[in-house]
Order: sequence, then C-alpha cells, then structure tokens
Amino acid sequence: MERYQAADEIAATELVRRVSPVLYRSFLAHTRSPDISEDLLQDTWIRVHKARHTYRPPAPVMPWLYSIAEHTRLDGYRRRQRRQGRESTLENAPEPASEQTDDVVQRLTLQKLMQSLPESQRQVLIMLKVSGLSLEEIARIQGSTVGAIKLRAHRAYQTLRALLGGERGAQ
Amino acid sequence: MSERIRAMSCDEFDALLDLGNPFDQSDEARQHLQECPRCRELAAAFGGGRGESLPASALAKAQTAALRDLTPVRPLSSPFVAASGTLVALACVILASLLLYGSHGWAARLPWQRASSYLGAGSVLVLSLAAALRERVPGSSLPAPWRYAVAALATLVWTGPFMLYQFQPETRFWPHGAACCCNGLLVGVVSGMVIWLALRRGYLLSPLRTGWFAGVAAGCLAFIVQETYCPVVESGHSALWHGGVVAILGTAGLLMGWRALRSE
Repeated sequence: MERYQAADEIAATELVRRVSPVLYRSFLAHTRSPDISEDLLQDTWIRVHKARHTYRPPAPVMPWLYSIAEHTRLDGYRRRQRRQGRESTLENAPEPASEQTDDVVQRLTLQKLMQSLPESQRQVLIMLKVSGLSLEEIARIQGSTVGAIKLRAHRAYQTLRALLGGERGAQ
Repeated sequence: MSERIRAMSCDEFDALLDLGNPFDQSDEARQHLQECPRCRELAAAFGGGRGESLPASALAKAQTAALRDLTPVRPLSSPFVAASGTLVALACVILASLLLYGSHGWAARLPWQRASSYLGAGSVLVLSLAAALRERVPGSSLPAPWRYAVAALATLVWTGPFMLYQFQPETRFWPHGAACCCNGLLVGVVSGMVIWLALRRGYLLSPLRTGWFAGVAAGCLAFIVQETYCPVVESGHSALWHGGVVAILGTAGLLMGWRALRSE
C-alpha cells in the first residue's frame, strides 16, 4: 500500500490482484449479482485511488480498504433503491445451473440462508466467512468491539443452524 | 438433537467457526461434526463460501480504476499532529476573540455556572473534534455509542442554559441577542475554517458526519467565547443566542457535507 501511495505501478497491480477477489466475493454475497458486484468492485477501486492518501502506514490495510468497499456498497445499494424502488430479490437472482457441484450447492444454500439474517449479522458473517477477515479487523471496520462482533456472529450461527434444521425437516 | 454432544458443544464449535474452517481443526471438532448434523451442514455451507472466482474482465476494470493517473501522494498527517495543530489554532481564535470582545461574562457568572457551561461545551468540543479528525481515515470512525454521546451532549449544550440560569425577561432581547449571535457566528465561522484546514484532505467517505462534527465543534468554541464575553446571565438569551450558534453551525456543517456528497 505504501508503494501504491508512492505511485509504484507494479505494487498497485499486485494489490488489486490480491484484494479484488475478496471484495468481489463479499459484494456477490450481498448482491447475488455478478454484474452489480463487478460495478461495485470498479467503484471501490476508483474510491481507493482517490482516498489512497488517507491510508496511514503501518496500520492494517484490510480494515481501511474494506471500509471504503462497505461505503461503496451502501451507496450503490441506495442508488439502486432510488432507481428501481427495491433491491433485487431472491426471485430474480440468477438461476442455478442444472448440474451443480457440491461446492456450488453449498454456496447457494449459504447465500439463500444468509438473506434471512438481520443486516448486521449478515454483514459480520460475510466479512468473516466470505471475505476471510479476522474478528479484530471486522471490529475495526464496524467501529465496534471484538466481543460484540463475536456475539453477532454466534447469533447468526444459531439462526443458520435452526434454518438448516428447518430446511432438512421440510425436505 | 441436544445442543451438547460429548466432548464439544455447539457453542464451542461456534468459537472454532470464528477462526476458520473447522474441518481442519482438532479431533474433537471432527467428532462433533460427525455427530451433529446441523453443525456439519453449517460448516459445509461455509466451506463453499469462498469458492467464487473473480472474472478476468472485473479484474481488468479494477486495475484500470486503480492505476488511472497514478501519481505519488503524501499520506495524511498523524492524528496527534492534526489534533494538536488544530487545538493550538483554536486556542488562538479564542484568545483573539476575547481580546476583541472582552471578558465581561466571566465576572457576571457564578463559579458553578462557569464550570458547568465550560465543562459541557468543552467536552463536546473535544469529542466532536476527535470524531471529525477520526473520520479522515476510513475504518477509524468513532464507535457508534460515542457518536450518539456527542449528539446527546451537543443537545445538552443547547438546552443547558435553562438549567444554569434563571429566566428574566430582557428589555432588549432581540437587538442585543441578534448582535451577540452575530459575534458568535463570526467566531464559529473562523473556527470552522481552522477545522476545515485539518479535515480538507480526509472527509471522503462520510462528508455528512464529518461536516456535522466539525460544525458542532466550531459552534461549541463560539459558545465558550460567548459565555466568556457576554454579561447577560439569562436562560432565554443563553439558550437562543449562544446555544443557537451550536445548532446553526452544526446544521451548516451538515449542509456543507451534503453538498460535498452531491458534488462527488
């Protein structure tokens, strides 16, 4: 990141290459639309580029970057809400392919189940399980404590566990 | 299925989930997974959570966005340098204002009234300034409870005079009050400009919040100056013409933040 601030093109390219998949997966988990996630990723990097002087070494990069990504996502959501009146719902999410691997099935199940969680719990779970951030990093991004984040995550696990049990019972 | 299964409970398993994929964890975790279908499904769902790959077109777009007009930038000054520089500049504003307007209000107020009013306005000034300076760096915002505390204390500064001073109808309420308010606004605007100098490179993510914090800080400084120079010790006057400056400048900061957001 320091080399990005010093206009090192190779370092910037490497940073984008390493961080973009994490951000993309997080956007995808929230929006469930590859097109919107691509746009959000691009918008995030435009903002990161504009705000790169606000990063202060040696602070961890991910909380800083993820805050920008979260703001971009929320702004994008508000923009889409204004434009469409509502966010894309489960019904108009892309249809899953007929032949799915276990991995894809698991991912779709998780995405579907996460929609039933409250926004605060979903956010924590996406950062923790989809983006792979640590509890400390999430606490920093959310302006909260590690204990509070743990509590939200555990409530989310309990809800998901109950939902998984319910789904299995329905089948 | 009971929640507690032999060596490891579902709650203990949750703690492992925070750390990563429990499939790779201890024997107890593996045993728990074998025996608890719900935890197994949960862990399996999370196991597939990171599999989505980034399309090449998205990566290309991201790289174009990040590398456009790439020039070296100077990182922001440290919070300590920014805070101490701003506080010194604001202290100069207070001194200059008191030299200009005098300090007749100091003697006119009782010690407990002075202490309460300075303590209240001073703490809001420090908290809102700290909050505004923290907004410069993404991911460093003041935690939400602190932000609400600033808002609550700012309201207290506005309404506090009713608790501190008695209500006595003033003969020249409007002309005297309007002049007092104008002086306060002048001090507030100068303070606002000083604070803006510290914030100008770092209000990108939350201009609304930053503007409001900066406005409240400037308003509180103006309130302190007004309470020091103004000899009128009356609740209506202090609440409307002194506390009103905090409200006006807070709103002005919010509007400037909104304008910055719109022009983005």
